[in-house]
Amino acid sequence: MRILMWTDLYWPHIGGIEVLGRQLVAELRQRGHEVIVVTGQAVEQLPDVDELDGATIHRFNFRAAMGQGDVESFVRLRRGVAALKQQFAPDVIHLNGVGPSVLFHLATKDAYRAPVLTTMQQNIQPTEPTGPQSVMGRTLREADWVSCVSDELLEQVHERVPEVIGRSSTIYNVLQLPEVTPQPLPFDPPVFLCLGRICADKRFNVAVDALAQIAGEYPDFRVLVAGDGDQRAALEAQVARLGLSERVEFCGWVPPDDVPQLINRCTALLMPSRREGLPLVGVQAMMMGRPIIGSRTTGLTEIIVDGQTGSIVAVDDTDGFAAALRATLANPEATQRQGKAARQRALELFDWNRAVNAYCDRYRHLIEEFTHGRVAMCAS
Amino acid sequence: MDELQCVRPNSQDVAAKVIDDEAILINVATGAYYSMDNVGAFIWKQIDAQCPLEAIVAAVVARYDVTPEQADTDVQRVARELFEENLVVACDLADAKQAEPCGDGDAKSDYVSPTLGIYRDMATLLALDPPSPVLIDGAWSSSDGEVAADEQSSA
Repeated sequence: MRILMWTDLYWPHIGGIEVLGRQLVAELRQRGHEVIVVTGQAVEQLPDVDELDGATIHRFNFRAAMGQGDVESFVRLRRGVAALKQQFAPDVIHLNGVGPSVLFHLATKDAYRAPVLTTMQQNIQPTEPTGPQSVMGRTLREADWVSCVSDELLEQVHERVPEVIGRSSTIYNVLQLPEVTPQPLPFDPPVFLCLGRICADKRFNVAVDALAQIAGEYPDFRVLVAGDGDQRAALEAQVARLGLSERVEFCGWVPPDDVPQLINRCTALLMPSRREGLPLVGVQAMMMGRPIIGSRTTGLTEIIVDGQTGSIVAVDDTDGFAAALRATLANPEATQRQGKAARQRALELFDWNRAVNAYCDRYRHLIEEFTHGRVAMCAS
Repeated sequence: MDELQCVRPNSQDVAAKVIDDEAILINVATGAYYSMDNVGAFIWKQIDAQCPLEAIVAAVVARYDVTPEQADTDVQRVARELFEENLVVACDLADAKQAEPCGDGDAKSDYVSPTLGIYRDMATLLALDPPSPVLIDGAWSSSDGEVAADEQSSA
Protein backbone atom coordinates (compact mmCIF):
# COMPACT_ATOMS: atom_id res chain seq x y z
CA MET A 1 0.00 0.00 0.00
CA ARG A 2 1.01 3.58 -0.58
CA ILE A 3 0.20 5.45 2.59
CA LEU A 4 0.32 9.21 3.09
CA MET A 5 0.65 9.80 6.82
CA TRP A 6 -0.42 13.30 7.80
CA THR A 7 0.55 14.56 11.23
CA ASP A 8 0.81 18.07 12.62
CA LEU A 9 4.36 17.50 13.81
CA TYR A 10 6.78 14.61 13.50
CA TRP A 11 10.15 13.51 14.77
CA PRO A 12 12.42 15.15 15.99
CA HIS A 13 9.42 16.70 17.76
CA ILE A 14 8.84 14.39 20.70
CA GLY A 15 5.28 14.52 22.03
CA GLY A 16 3.36 11.28 22.49
CA ILE A 17 1.69 11.52 19.08
CA GLU A 18 5.02 12.25 17.41
CA VAL A 19 6.71 9.25 19.03
CA LEU A 20 3.78 6.99 18.19
CA GLY A 21 3.70 8.34 14.62
CA ARG A 22 7.35 7.52 14.10
CA GLN A 23 6.98 3.99 15.47
CA LEU A 24 3.91 3.41 13.30
CA VAL A 25 5.59 4.67 10.12
CA ALA A 26 8.70 2.57 10.78
CA GLU A 27 6.52 -0.51 11.35
CA LEU A 28 4.52 0.11 8.17
CA ARG A 29 7.77 0.41 6.22
CA GLN A 30 9.01 -2.84 7.76
CA ARG A 31 5.82 -4.52 6.61
CA GLY A 32 6.61 -3.47 3.06
CA HIS A 33 4.32 -0.48 2.62
CA GLU A 34 5.41 2.71 0.94
CA VAL A 35 4.93 5.66 3.29
CA ILE A 36 5.48 9.39 3.09
CA VAL A 37 4.87 11.78 5.95
CA VAL A 38 3.36 15.23 5.48
CA THR A 39 3.96 17.36 8.53
CA GLY A 40 4.48 20.86 9.86
CA GLN A 41 7.69 22.82 10.06
CA ALA A 42 7.77 24.46 13.47
CA VAL A 43 11.49 25.20 13.68
CA GLU A 44 13.57 26.53 10.85
CA GLN A 45 16.50 24.15 11.33
CA LEU A 46 14.61 21.16 9.98
CA PRO A 47 14.94 20.39 6.27
CA ASP A 48 11.85 20.62 4.06
CA VAL A 49 12.47 17.09 2.81
CA ASP A 50 14.06 14.42 4.96
CA GLU A 51 14.50 10.65 5.15
CA LEU A 52 13.79 8.72 8.33
CA ASP A 53 13.21 4.99 8.88
CA GLY A 54 12.87 4.48 5.13
CA ALA A 55 10.11 7.06 4.74
CA THR A 56 10.35 10.51 3.16
CA ILE A 57 9.28 13.35 5.42
CA HIS A 58 7.85 16.46 3.76
CA ARG A 59 7.73 19.47 6.06
CA PHE A 60 5.61 22.53 5.30
CA ASN A 61 5.53 25.74 7.28
CA PHE A 62 1.79 25.52 7.92
CA ARG A 63 1.79 27.26 11.28
CA ALA A 64 3.54 30.39 10.06
CA ALA A 65 1.06 30.81 7.21
CA MET A 66 -1.91 30.25 9.50
CA GLY A 67 -0.61 32.17 12.48
CA GLN A 68 0.15 35.24 10.40
CA GLY A 69 -2.91 35.02 8.17
CA ASP A 70 -0.55 35.09 5.19
CA VAL A 71 -2.75 34.31 2.19
CA GLU A 72 0.19 34.25 -0.26
CA SER A 73 1.97 31.59 1.81
CA PHE A 74 -1.31 29.74 2.21
CA VAL A 75 -1.71 29.51 -1.55
CA ARG A 76 1.93 28.49 -2.07
CA LEU A 77 1.70 25.76 0.57
CA ARG A 78 -1.57 24.52 -0.77
CA ARG A 79 -0.08 24.15 -4.24
CA GLY A 80 2.89 22.29 -2.76
CA VAL A 81 0.66 19.85 -0.89
CA ALA A 82 -1.58 19.32 -3.91
CA ALA A 83 1.44 18.59 -6.12
CA LEU A 84 2.83 16.15 -3.57
CA LYS A 85 -0.46 14.27 -3.33
CA GLN A 86 -0.65 13.99 -7.12
CA GLN A 87 2.98 12.92 -7.37
CA PHE A 88 2.84 10.25 -4.63
CA ALA A 89 -0.69 9.12 -5.54
CA PRO A 90 -1.43 7.45 -2.18
CA ASP A 91 -3.82 4.52 -1.90
CA VAL A 92 -4.93 5.89 1.45
CA ILE A 93 -4.44 9.07 3.48
CA HIS A 94 -4.14 8.71 7.26
CA LEU A 95 -4.69 11.90 9.26
CA ASN A 96 -3.03 11.02 12.56
CA GLY A 97 -4.68 13.64 14.76
CA VAL A 98 -6.76 16.68 13.89
CA GLY A 99 -4.55 19.73 14.26
CA PRO A 100 -4.47 23.05 12.48
CA SER A 101 -2.45 21.72 9.54
CA VAL A 102 -5.37 19.53 8.48
CA LEU A 103 -6.88 22.64 6.87
CA PHE A 104 -4.35 22.12 4.07
CA HIS A 105 -5.53 18.56 3.56
CA LEU A 106 -9.11 19.76 3.31
CA ALA A 107 -8.07 22.53 0.93
CA THR A 108 -6.38 20.00 -1.39
CA LYS A 109 -8.83 17.13 -1.23
CA ASP A 110 -9.92 17.69 -4.82
CA ALA A 111 -6.34 17.67 -6.09
CA TYR A 112 -6.08 13.93 -5.55
CA ARG A 113 -8.84 11.63 -4.35
CA ALA A 114 -7.98 8.84 -1.94
CA PRO A 115 -9.84 7.30 1.01
CA VAL A 116 -9.15 9.04 4.29
CA LEU A 117 -8.73 7.53 7.75
CA THR A 118 -8.83 10.16 10.48
CA THR A 119 -7.51 9.30 13.95
CA MET A 120 -8.86 11.38 16.82
CA GLN A 121 -6.06 11.71 19.36
CA GLN A 122 -7.48 14.14 21.92
CA ASN A 123 -10.81 14.81 23.48
CA ILE A 124 -12.90 17.67 22.20
CA GLN A 125 -13.21 20.67 24.50
CA PRO A 126 -16.80 21.72 25.28
CA THR A 127 -16.17 25.10 23.67
CA GLU A 128 -14.40 23.64 20.65
CA PRO A 129 -16.48 24.00 17.46
CA THR A 130 -17.40 20.76 15.69
CA GLY A 131 -19.99 22.06 13.24
CA PRO A 132 -19.61 22.01 9.46
CA GLN A 133 -17.95 25.42 9.66
CA SER A 134 -14.91 24.13 11.53
CA VAL A 135 -11.80 22.21 10.53
CA MET A 136 -12.58 19.65 13.24
CA GLY A 137 -16.18 19.20 12.09
CA ARG A 138 -15.37 18.98 8.41
CA THR A 139 -12.43 16.65 8.93
CA LEU A 140 -14.61 14.21 10.85
CA ARG A 141 -17.57 14.46 8.50
CA GLU A 142 -15.48 14.05 5.36
CA ALA A 143 -13.40 11.14 6.66
CA ASP A 144 -14.17 7.75 5.19
CA TRP A 145 -13.41 6.25 8.60
CA VAL A 146 -12.75 7.79 12.02
CA SER A 147 -10.65 5.88 14.53
CA CYS A 148 -10.52 7.11 18.11
CA VAL A 149 -7.73 6.25 20.51
CA SER A 150 -10.11 5.31 23.33
CA ASP A 151 -13.71 4.14 23.71
CA GLU A 152 -14.58 7.25 25.70
CA LEU A 153 -13.28 9.45 22.94
CA LEU A 154 -15.33 7.46 20.44
CA GLU A 155 -18.46 8.09 22.51
CA GLN A 156 -17.62 11.78 22.68
CA VAL A 157 -17.13 12.00 18.92
CA HIS A 158 -20.46 10.21 18.35
CA GLU A 159 -22.15 12.70 20.65
CA ARG A 160 -20.63 15.75 18.99
CA VAL A 161 -20.65 14.54 15.37
CA PRO A 162 -23.33 11.82 15.06
CA GLU A 163 -22.79 11.62 11.30
CA VAL A 164 -19.71 9.43 11.89
CA ILE A 165 -21.63 6.71 13.76
CA GLY A 166 -21.38 3.65 11.54
CA ARG A 167 -17.99 4.58 10.13
CA SER A 168 -15.89 4.85 13.25
CA SER A 169 -14.18 2.61 15.78
CA THR A 170 -11.60 2.51 18.54
CA ILE A 171 -7.96 1.71 17.88
CA TYR A 172 -6.03 2.17 21.09
CA ASN A 173 -2.94 4.33 21.18
CA VAL A 174 -0.09 1.91 21.73
CA LEU A 175 3.68 2.11 21.87
CA GLN A 176 6.08 -0.75 21.36
CA LEU A 177 6.86 -2.58 24.59
CA PRO A 178 10.10 -1.09 25.98
CA GLU A 179 13.07 -3.44 25.96
CA VAL A 180 14.02 -2.20 29.42
CA THR A 181 13.04 -4.61 32.21
CA PRO A 182 10.71 -3.12 34.83
CA GLN A 183 12.37 -2.72 38.21
CA PRO A 184 10.64 -3.07 41.62
CA LEU A 185 8.95 0.11 42.77
CA PRO A 186 11.32 2.19 44.95
CA PHE A 187 10.18 3.09 48.45
CA ASP A 188 13.47 4.20 49.96
CA PRO A 189 12.70 6.89 49.15
CA PRO A 190 9.47 6.76 47.15
CA VAL A 191 9.59 8.79 43.94
CA PHE A 192 6.63 10.34 42.13
CA LEU A 193 6.91 11.22 38.46
CA CYS A 194 5.17 13.96 36.46
CA LEU A 195 6.04 13.49 32.79
CA GLY A 196 4.97 15.55 29.80
CA ARG A 197 4.43 19.05 28.57
CA ILE A 198 4.15 21.43 31.52
CA CYS A 199 1.04 23.24 30.34
CA ALA A 200 -2.27 24.22 31.90
CA ASP A 201 -4.08 21.08 30.68
CA LYS A 202 -1.68 18.75 32.52
CA ARG A 203 -2.54 20.39 35.88
CA PHE A 204 0.78 19.42 37.49
CA ASN A 205 0.09 22.29 39.92
CA VAL A 206 -2.69 20.16 41.44
CA ALA A 207 -0.20 17.34 42.06
CA VAL A 208 2.23 19.77 43.69
CA ASP A 209 -0.49 21.16 45.98
CA ALA A 210 -1.43 17.60 46.97
CA LEU A 211 2.21 16.67 47.58
CA ALA A 212 2.55 19.72 49.82
CA GLN A 213 -0.42 18.46 51.85
CA ILE A 214 1.31 15.18 52.67
CA ALA A 215 4.86 16.51 52.97
CA GLY A 216 4.69 16.67 56.77
CA GLU A 217 3.46 13.09 57.10
CA TYR A 218 5.96 11.64 54.63
CA PRO A 219 9.25 13.52 54.92
CA ASP A 220 11.29 11.42 52.49
CA PHE A 221 9.42 11.22 49.17
CA ARG A 222 10.95 12.73 46.04
CA VAL A 223 9.37 14.07 42.87
CA LEU A 224 10.69 14.13 39.30
CA VAL A 225 9.14 16.58 36.86
CA ALA A 226 10.26 15.66 33.34
CA GLY A 227 9.22 17.96 30.54
CA ASP A 228 8.92 21.63 29.83
CA GLY A 229 6.31 24.10 28.76
CA ASP A 230 4.76 27.48 29.30
CA GLN A 231 3.75 26.67 32.90
CA ARG A 232 7.20 25.49 34.05
CA ALA A 233 8.23 28.80 35.64
CA ALA A 234 4.92 29.00 37.51
CA LEU A 235 5.29 25.40 38.67
CA GLU A 236 8.85 26.00 39.87
CA ALA A 237 7.66 29.08 41.76
CA GLN A 238 4.83 27.06 43.32
CA VAL A 239 7.28 24.34 44.40
CA ALA A 240 9.54 26.94 46.02
CA ARG A 241 6.61 28.71 47.69
CA LEU A 242 5.40 25.44 49.22
CA GLY A 243 8.88 24.57 50.52
CA LEU A 244 9.30 21.54 48.25
CA SER A 245 12.40 22.66 46.34
CA GLU A 246 14.62 20.10 48.07
CA ARG A 247 12.31 17.27 47.05
CA VAL A 248 11.33 18.21 43.49
CA GLU A 249 13.75 17.86 40.61
CA PHE A 250 12.93 19.50 37.28
CA CYS A 251 14.63 17.36 34.64
CA GLY A 252 13.57 19.17 31.48
CA TRP A 253 12.77 17.07 28.44
CA VAL A 254 13.97 13.52 28.42
CA PRO A 255 14.67 11.76 25.08
CA PRO A 256 12.00 9.14 24.29
CA ASP A 257 14.57 6.34 24.41
CA ASP A 258 15.41 7.28 28.00
CA VAL A 259 11.81 7.42 29.23
CA PRO A 260 11.55 3.73 30.26
CA GLN A 261 14.63 4.08 32.51
CA LEU A 262 13.17 7.27 33.95
CA ILE A 263 9.91 5.49 34.71
CA ASN A 264 11.90 2.69 36.36
CA ARG A 265 13.11 5.25 38.91
CA CYS A 266 9.59 6.10 40.05
CA THR A 267 7.06 4.58 42.43
CA ALA A 268 3.98 5.98 40.71
CA LEU A 269 3.06 8.27 37.82
CA LEU A 270 0.98 11.37 38.57
CA MET A 271 -1.46 12.50 35.87
CA PRO A 272 -3.87 15.15 37.17
CA SER A 273 -4.74 16.20 33.57
CA ARG A 274 -7.98 17.83 32.57
CA ARG A 275 -7.59 16.89 28.89
CA GLU A 276 -6.23 13.70 27.33
CA GLY A 277 -7.04 11.30 24.51
CA LEU A 278 -5.34 8.12 25.57
CA PRO A 279 -2.08 9.24 27.15
CA LEU A 280 0.91 7.32 25.88
CA VAL A 281 2.86 8.34 28.98
CA GLY A 282 0.30 6.41 30.99
CA VAL A 283 0.47 3.43 28.66
CA GLN A 284 4.25 3.38 28.95
CA ALA A 285 4.12 3.66 32.76
CA MET A 286 1.75 0.68 32.88
CA MET A 287 4.07 -1.29 30.59
CA MET A 288 6.84 -0.53 33.08
CA GLY A 289 4.66 -1.79 35.95
CA ARG A 290 3.87 1.55 37.54
CA PRO A 291 0.53 2.48 39.11
CA ILE A 292 -0.99 5.77 38.00
CA ILE A 293 -2.76 8.37 40.11
CA GLY A 294 -4.84 10.14 37.49
CA SER A 295 -7.83 12.38 37.05
CA ARG A 296 -11.28 11.41 35.89
CA THR A 297 -10.84 12.49 32.29
CA THR A 298 -11.06 10.88 28.87
CA GLY A 299 -8.56 8.09 28.41
CA LEU A 300 -7.30 7.95 31.98
CA THR A 301 -10.52 6.43 33.27
CA GLU A 302 -10.16 3.80 30.58
CA ILE A 303 -6.61 2.76 31.32
CA ILE A 304 -6.67 2.99 35.14
CA VAL A 305 -8.72 0.49 37.12
CA ASP A 306 -9.40 2.46 40.27
CA GLY A 307 -7.92 0.67 43.28
CA GLN A 308 -6.36 -2.07 41.16
CA THR A 309 -3.87 -0.40 38.82
CA GLY A 310 -3.86 3.03 40.44
CA SER A 311 -6.32 5.65 41.60
CA ILE A 312 -8.78 7.93 39.83
CA VAL A 313 -9.52 11.32 41.34
CA ALA A 314 -11.86 14.09 40.19
CA VAL A 315 -10.23 16.79 38.05
CA ASP A 316 -8.69 19.51 40.24
CA ASP A 317 -9.55 17.62 43.47
CA THR A 318 -6.41 18.40 45.45
CA ASP A 319 -7.66 16.70 48.62
CA GLY A 320 -8.60 13.59 46.68
CA PHE A 321 -5.19 13.55 45.04
CA ALA A 322 -3.50 13.89 48.42
CA ALA A 323 -5.56 10.97 49.72
CA ALA A 324 -4.47 8.83 46.78
CA LEU A 325 -0.83 9.76 47.41
CA ARG A 326 -1.19 8.79 51.09
CA ALA A 327 -2.68 5.44 50.11
CA THR A 328 0.20 4.81 47.71
CA LEU A 329 2.80 5.50 50.40
CA ALA A 330 0.98 3.92 53.32
CA ASN A 331 0.86 0.43 51.87
CA PRO A 332 3.89 -0.38 49.70
CA GLU A 333 2.80 -3.99 49.19
CA ALA A 334 -0.57 -2.91 47.80
CA THR A 335 1.17 -0.37 45.58
CA GLN A 336 3.54 -3.07 44.28
CA ARG A 337 0.49 -5.21 43.48
CA GLN A 338 -1.08 -2.30 41.62
CA GLY A 339 2.09 -1.91 39.57
CA LYS A 340 2.07 -5.57 38.59
CA ALA A 341 -1.61 -5.40 37.74
CA ALA A 342 -0.95 -2.28 35.65
CA ARG A 343 1.68 -4.10 33.61
CA GLN A 344 -0.58 -7.09 33.12
CA ARG A 345 -3.39 -4.80 31.95
CA ALA A 346 -1.01 -3.02 29.57
CA LEU A 347 0.11 -6.31 28.06
CA GLU A 348 -3.51 -7.33 27.53
CA LEU A 349 -4.90 -4.04 26.22
CA PHE A 350 -2.04 -2.34 24.45
CA ASP A 351 -0.61 -4.87 22.06
CA TRP A 352 1.50 -3.20 19.40
CA ASN A 353 0.93 -5.75 16.63
CA ARG A 354 -2.82 -5.77 17.25
CA ALA A 355 -2.97 -1.99 16.91
CA VAL A 356 -0.88 -1.90 13.72
CA ASN A 357 -2.91 -4.77 12.27
CA ALA A 358 -6.08 -2.82 13.00
CA TYR A 359 -4.76 0.16 11.06
CA CYS A 360 -3.62 -2.01 8.16
CA ASP A 361 -6.98 -3.83 8.02
CA ARG A 362 -8.78 -0.50 8.01
CA TYR A 363 -6.55 0.84 5.22
CA ARG A 364 -7.32 -2.26 3.12
CA HIS A 365 -11.07 -2.00 3.67
CA LEU A 366 -11.08 1.66 2.76
CA ILE A 367 -9.04 1.07 -0.38
CA GLU A 368 -11.31 -1.80 -1.43
CA GLU A 369 -14.45 0.25 -0.89
CA PHE A 370 -12.96 3.21 -2.68
CA THR A 371 -11.85 1.13 -5.65
CA HIS A 372 -15.22 -0.63 -5.93
CA GLY A 373 -17.01 2.69 -5.68
CA ARG A 374 -14.91 4.13 -8.47
CA VAL A 375 -15.36 1.06 -10.64
CA ALA A 376 -19.11 1.16 -10.03
CA MET A 377 -19.21 4.85 -10.95
CA CYS A 378 -17.28 4.19 -14.17
CA ALA A 379 -19.58 1.29 -15.08
CA SER A 380 -22.81 3.20 -14.51
CA MET B 1 -33.09 43.79 6.72
CA ASP B 2 -31.98 46.33 4.12
CA GLU B 3 -30.82 44.97 0.82
CA LEU B 4 -27.16 45.64 0.16
CA GLN B 5 -26.41 47.60 -2.99
CA CYS B 6 -22.65 47.81 -2.97
CA VAL B 7 -19.95 46.19 -0.85
CA ARG B 8 -16.18 46.30 -0.94
CA PRO B 9 -13.54 44.13 0.79
CA ASN B 10 -12.84 44.95 4.42
CA SER B 11 -9.20 45.51 3.56
CA GLN B 12 -8.32 46.43 7.13
CA ASP B 13 -9.03 42.92 8.47
CA VAL B 14 -9.12 40.68 5.43
CA ALA B 15 -6.39 39.18 3.25
CA ALA B 16 -7.73 37.64 0.06
CA LYS B 17 -6.56 36.08 -3.15
CA VAL B 18 -8.31 34.47 -6.10
CA ILE B 19 -6.44 31.56 -7.56
CA ASP B 20 -7.47 28.67 -9.79
CA ASP B 21 -11.11 29.83 -9.70
CA GLU B 22 -11.15 29.83 -5.93
CA ALA B 23 -11.26 32.82 -3.62
CA ILE B 24 -9.33 32.35 -0.36
CA LEU B 25 -10.05 34.86 2.36
CA ILE B 26 -8.47 35.14 5.78
CA ASN B 27 -9.94 37.35 8.46
CA VAL B 28 -6.73 38.25 10.25
CA ALA B 29 -8.69 39.75 13.14
CA THR B 30 -10.45 36.48 14.01
CA GLY B 31 -8.15 33.90 12.37
CA ALA B 32 -11.10 32.46 10.44
CA TYR B 33 -10.52 31.10 6.93
CA TYR B 34 -12.99 31.24 4.05
CA SER B 35 -13.15 29.92 0.53
CA MET B 36 -15.50 30.22 -2.43
CA ASP B 37 -15.28 28.17 -5.62
CA ASN B 38 -16.04 29.15 -9.21
CA VAL B 39 -19.09 31.44 -9.21
CA GLY B 40 -18.24 32.60 -5.69
CA ALA B 41 -14.70 33.44 -6.76
CA PHE B 42 -16.07 35.34 -9.76
CA ILE B 43 -18.38 37.32 -7.48
CA TRP B 44 -15.48 38.10 -5.14
CA LYS B 45 -13.43 39.45 -8.07
CA GLN B 46 -16.28 41.80 -8.92
CA ILE B 47 -16.63 42.86 -5.29
CA ASP B 48 -12.90 43.46 -5.15
CA ALA B 49 -13.32 45.72 -8.19
CA GLN B 50 -16.01 47.59 -6.18
CA CYS B 51 -18.80 46.88 -8.65
CA PRO B 52 -22.37 47.46 -7.40
CA LEU B 53 -24.28 44.25 -6.76
CA GLU B 54 -26.71 44.96 -9.59
CA ALA B 55 -23.79 45.05 -12.01
CA ILE B 56 -22.36 41.87 -10.49
CA VAL B 57 -25.68 40.11 -11.10
CA ALA B 58 -25.55 41.23 -14.73
CA ALA B 59 -21.97 39.98 -15.04
CA VAL B 60 -22.92 36.62 -13.54
CA VAL B 61 -25.87 36.27 -15.93
CA ALA B 62 -23.62 37.16 -18.85
CA ARG B 63 -21.03 34.58 -17.92
CA TYR B 64 -23.02 31.68 -16.53
CA ASP B 65 -26.03 29.68 -17.56
CA VAL B 66 -28.37 31.10 -14.92
CA THR B 67 -31.57 33.13 -14.76
CA PRO B 68 -31.36 36.76 -13.60
CA GLU B 69 -33.63 35.92 -10.67
CA GLN B 70 -31.42 33.09 -9.46
CA ALA B 71 -28.27 35.16 -9.93
CA ASP B 72 -29.81 38.07 -8.03
CA THR B 73 -30.83 35.81 -5.15
CA ASP B 74 -27.37 34.23 -4.95
CA VAL B 75 -25.40 37.46 -5.25
CA GLN B 76 -27.49 39.07 -2.54
CA ARG B 77 -27.09 36.03 -0.29
CA VAL B 78 -23.33 35.83 -0.77
CA ALA B 79 -22.94 39.57 -0.20
CA ARG B 80 -25.01 39.30 2.98
CA GLU B 81 -22.93 36.35 4.25
CA LEU B 82 -19.68 38.18 3.50
CA PHE B 83 -21.04 41.27 5.23
CA GLU B 84 -22.10 39.30 8.32
CA GLU B 85 -18.65 37.71 8.48
CA ASN B 86 -17.15 41.20 8.36
CA LEU B 87 -15.28 40.30 5.18
CA VAL B 88 -16.86 43.21 3.29
CA VAL B 89 -18.23 46.58 4.26
CA ALA B 90 -21.12 48.43 2.66
CA CYS B 91 -20.06 51.19 0.30
CA ASP B 92 -21.67 54.13 -1.39
CA LEU B 93 -23.14 53.47 -4.80
CA ALA B 94 -21.61 56.75 -5.95
CA ASP B 95 -18.15 55.26 -5.36
CA ALA B 96 -18.92 52.03 -7.18
CA LYS B 97 -17.39 51.11 -10.51
CA GLN B 98 -18.88 49.23 -13.41
CA ALA B 99 -18.45 45.49 -13.66
CA GLU B 100 -16.02 44.41 -16.30
CA PRO B 101 -17.92 43.21 -19.34
CA CYS B 102 -17.63 39.48 -19.80
CA GLY B 103 -19.20 36.56 -21.52
CA ASP B 104 -20.72 38.32 -24.53
CA GLY B 105 -20.73 35.92 -27.43
CA ASP B 106 -18.96 33.14 -25.49
CA ALA B 107 -20.61 29.88 -24.52
CA LYS B 108 -21.88 30.25 -20.99
CA SER B 109 -20.35 28.26 -18.19
CA ASP B 110 -22.31 25.84 -16.02
CA TYR B 111 -23.75 27.47 -12.96
CA VAL B 112 -23.56 26.14 -9.41
CA SER B 113 -24.92 28.34 -6.64
CA PRO B 114 -21.95 29.75 -4.74
CA THR B 115 -21.27 28.75 -1.16
CA LEU B 116 -19.01 30.36 1.37
CA GLY B 117 -16.82 27.70 3.01
CA ILE B 118 -15.97 28.73 6.56
CA TYR B 119 -13.38 27.44 9.03
CA ARG B 120 -13.89 29.24 12.31
CA ASP B 121 -11.72 27.13 14.60
CA MET B 122 -8.23 27.83 13.27
CA ALA B 123 -7.31 30.08 16.20
CA THR B 124 -8.71 27.49 18.64
CA LEU B 125 -6.75 24.64 17.07
CA LEU B 126 -3.54 26.66 17.03
CA ALA B 127 -4.01 27.60 20.69
CA LEU B 128 -4.96 24.10 21.86
CA ASP B 129 -2.11 22.44 20.06
CA PRO B 130 1.14 24.37 20.58
CA PRO B 131 4.20 22.79 18.95
CA SER B 132 5.96 20.08 20.95
CA PRO B 133 9.71 20.48 21.53
CA VAL B 134 12.26 19.24 19.07
CA LEU B 135 15.52 17.37 19.62
CA ILE B 136 18.31 18.41 17.24
CA ASP B 137 21.78 16.95 17.69
CA GLY B 138 21.39 16.57 21.42
CA ALA B 139 19.97 20.06 22.01
CA TRP B 140 16.36 20.94 22.59
CA SER B 141 14.81 23.65 20.50
CA SER B 142 11.77 25.65 21.41
CA SER B 143 8.96 26.23 18.93
CA ASP B 144 10.27 29.67 18.00
CA GLY B 145 13.33 28.07 16.51
CA GLU B 146 15.78 29.07 19.22
CA VAL B 147 18.08 26.18 20.05
CA ALA B 148 18.77 25.93 23.74
CA ALA B 149 21.70 24.30 25.43
CA ASP B 150 21.22 20.65 26.17
CA GLU B 151 19.07 20.85 29.23
CA GLN B 152 17.85 17.32 29.57
CA SER B 153 18.98 15.55 32.65
CA SER B 154 20.79 12.29 32.69
CA ALA B 155 17.60 10.82 34.14
